[in-house]
Amino acid sequence: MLFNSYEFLFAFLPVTLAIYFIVARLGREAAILWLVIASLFFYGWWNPVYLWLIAASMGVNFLFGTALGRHGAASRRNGKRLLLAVGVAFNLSLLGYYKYANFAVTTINSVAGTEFFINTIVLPLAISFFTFQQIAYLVDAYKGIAREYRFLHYALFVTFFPQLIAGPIVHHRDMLPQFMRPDAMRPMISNMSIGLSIFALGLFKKTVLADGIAQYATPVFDAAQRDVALSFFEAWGGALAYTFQLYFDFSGYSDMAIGAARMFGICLPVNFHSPYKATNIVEFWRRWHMTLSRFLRDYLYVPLGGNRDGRLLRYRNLMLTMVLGGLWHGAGWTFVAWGALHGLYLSINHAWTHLVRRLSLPPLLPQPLTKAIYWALTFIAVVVGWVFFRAESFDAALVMLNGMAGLNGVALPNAVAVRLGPIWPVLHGVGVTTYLGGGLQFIMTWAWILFLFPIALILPNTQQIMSRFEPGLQLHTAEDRAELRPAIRIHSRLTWRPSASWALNMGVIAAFGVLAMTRVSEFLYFQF
Amino acid sequence: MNEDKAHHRFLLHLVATFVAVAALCAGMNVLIDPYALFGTPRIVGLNDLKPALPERVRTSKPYMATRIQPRTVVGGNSRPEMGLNPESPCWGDIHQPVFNASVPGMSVLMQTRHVQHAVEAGNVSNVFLGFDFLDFLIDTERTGPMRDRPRMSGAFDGHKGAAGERGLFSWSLSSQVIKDHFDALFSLVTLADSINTLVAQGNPNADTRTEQGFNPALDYRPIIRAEGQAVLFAQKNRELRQRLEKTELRLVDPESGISPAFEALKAHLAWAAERDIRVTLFINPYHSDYLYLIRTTGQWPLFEAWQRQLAKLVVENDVLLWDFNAVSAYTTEQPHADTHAPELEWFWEPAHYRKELGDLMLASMLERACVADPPANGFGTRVDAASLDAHLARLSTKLDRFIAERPTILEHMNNVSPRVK
Repeated sequence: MLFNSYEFLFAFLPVTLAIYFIVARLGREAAILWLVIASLFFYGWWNPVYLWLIAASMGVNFLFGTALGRHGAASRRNGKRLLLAVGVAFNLSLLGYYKYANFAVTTINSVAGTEFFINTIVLPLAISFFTFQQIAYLVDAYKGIAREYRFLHYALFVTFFPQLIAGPIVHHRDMLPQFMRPDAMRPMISNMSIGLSIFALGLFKKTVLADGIAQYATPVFDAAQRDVALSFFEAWGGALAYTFQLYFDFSGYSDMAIGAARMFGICLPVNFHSPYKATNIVEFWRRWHMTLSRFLRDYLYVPLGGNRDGRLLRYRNLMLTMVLGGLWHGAGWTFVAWGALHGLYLSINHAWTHLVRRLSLPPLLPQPLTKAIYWALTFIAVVVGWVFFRAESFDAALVMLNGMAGLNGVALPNAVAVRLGPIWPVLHGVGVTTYLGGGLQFIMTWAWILFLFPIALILPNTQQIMSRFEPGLQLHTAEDRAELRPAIRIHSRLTWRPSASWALNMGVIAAFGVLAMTRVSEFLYFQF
Repeated sequence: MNEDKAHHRFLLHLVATFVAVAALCAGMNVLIDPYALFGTPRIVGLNDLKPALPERVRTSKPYMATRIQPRTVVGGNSRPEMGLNPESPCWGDIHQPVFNASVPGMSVLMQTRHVQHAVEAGNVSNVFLGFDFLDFLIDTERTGPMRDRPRMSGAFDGHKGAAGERGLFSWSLSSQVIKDHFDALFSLVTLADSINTLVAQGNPNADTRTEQGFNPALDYRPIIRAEGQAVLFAQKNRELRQRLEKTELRLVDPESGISPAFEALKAHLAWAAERDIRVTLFINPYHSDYLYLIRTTGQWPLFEAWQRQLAKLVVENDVLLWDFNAVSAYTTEQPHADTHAPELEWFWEPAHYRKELGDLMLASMLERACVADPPANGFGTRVDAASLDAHLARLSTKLDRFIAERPTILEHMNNVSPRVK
């Protein structure tokens, strides 16, 4: 079920909430059972076929987790480690079969010239998310951080519907204790107003902003797939449109998840913190899909050795982590390239930081200018990365990048050029040409980009707006030099409180978010 | 406790605002009716011109037809939609009201479904169905819904299909109608289109559709004034060339051995015969540029084969077929690059003729003296299996002679580059 659907907003969510708090009067376990049943219904709404898979995955992982929790003695450490290895292997093989089998066979056939065949395997919904979440649980159980002996509670940790489909990726230790609080099952009006406001912001981001600009990204990437030579503005228009589409789509989804959970009295970890304000790529990854970044750091990068064995090995570990992170997003070489590119970015970032520190270089430029250059470099690097992320093939990504590099020239639609008046001869003089058709598309693309740029760069993000009311777990704080802070004074004026004016604003935002739902759309992260 | 009260008030205000915004949105959308879905009366200066309707004609036209309750229906693609005006003086009283059920960019199957729906909505005795060569071509390199007939039948047009099928699909029809209205009422996109509609009332060249389903094509005017009509020709010629240059074009699907377009047409003719409806088929006129492209891309044999198959179908079903293709003064006007030059009299661009040419076509098909200077021998040719070969030979010869007499045509076709002053 989609958050941005009438059945979710006007049936599933209110009914689940109401019954949850009614059943909670009978006791905690009854309420948890109801929430698990409702969450499984939510999961199965789209395609009930894979309900058995998530149930089996939970059952097996619960057994492994229980066994790991009971393997306390140091003398049995090897056995415990073996148990963990088998548990992790089970999860990875499940993910490997459903997500990567087709990709692996295609790759082997193309490299080795073989003709192996397997039927197309339909990707079970949210398998990447619930697999990672359960691997983290097994590792935490191995370390003694997490322990769960009641299957119902474990099932709630995995299936709790706000975070089930596309995160945020939560830890058992972050979530279950919240359900165990004495007042957890009591409905609180403040949680409703805070949760609803966060949800409304997320819905607006998704249905109005992300879906609004999406229609201008898709045709450009489709054209690249058809090997159409894209001119400079066309290619950048498509790449930037997708850059904002993805951000508002995914961060909107995360806000909705956090908002929905809050209505049940549960705080989820925040997942985005204005990533496009970051002035370096390390900071970007502290702000983009934060729960995944932390997962990759804690359960992949650090076990690989992290930065413990010298700089070179650190760079290797970064590359491996990001390549695997890329592959997690999708079974395709474009995702591998995207991951590798970010691994490279991070390595360069760390090497540069080391170099500057080592040489004790005095600042060459004024600090605001340096910051602006760092931001521009970071942003461009991220946009280039998104081209690989979005393109349907490696070749299509290269077609986009050729256009963005200006290799196909700089051109404007003829209809735009004729209306530029005295500016056009100047542009024409420096080599700008024209092409037929696409005038309205061009204007709308760039109008949307110019509209969304300041929203992403200037306005406070959801958790900053809701900062007075504990909007989520693991909030991000950054140093001044790590982010752009234009018009920072606006932030204090845009701090939510339960006032009539905020109710009016949120009512309009919620209404626009709902009224924009008539467009058919799916979350981009559904397939990951 | 005070804080709880504040949160409580906040929620009440939020819900009240939400309901108020949704109600205002719905009210505005009904009043302006940007897609002509609700049938709100058109008021000049308020909602007469409907610039958002052209993109929604597939949804709206069935509802428009229901309101018009036509006696005559015109069908086809975008060419008759902007060529045959239901308000033309050529229609007689016995034909009115006329509804133009043509829908741009759809398959022949869907074109006929729209006609069938319009017929069911009124008391129709005459149907004029225009055809386009490209709509019958199967591109075997292309896959997707255009060739996927069952999928198309299951689309919304299928739900709104002919009455004979409504018994089977009554639930889906009802739910579709409810969905269409709900989407148009409670929609931010519709609200934006309502506002755009209001703003556009001051624009005499706004893209719109009349209540009878006609496209006056006024939006071509600002392009011609700003960029010159040659730019329109160049752009269309490029698109046509891209489509016609494909080598894998054919009339019959190699997998199934059938032509989905001819099958749809056959089914439609049988459907019309059952209801005793007089069907006149016609082949839309093309500008000489279009014919030239068919010739030079090597598709002429396929073009002739298509016409032969149409003629065969005509004989089998005892209906009329008109071909309005000719190489004459009507189809060989050359476009101007100059933005101040007068518009061409008969064509907007190579594929789309103006209503003035449409009136000539109607004068021929209806056998009425309704145009000022009719051509001496009439416009268009009524063809059947016996006369087709002679007609095609004449057309081919005239086209070759025209090309030979105008050696610069190739240059004009390939070199019309956008001009910016």
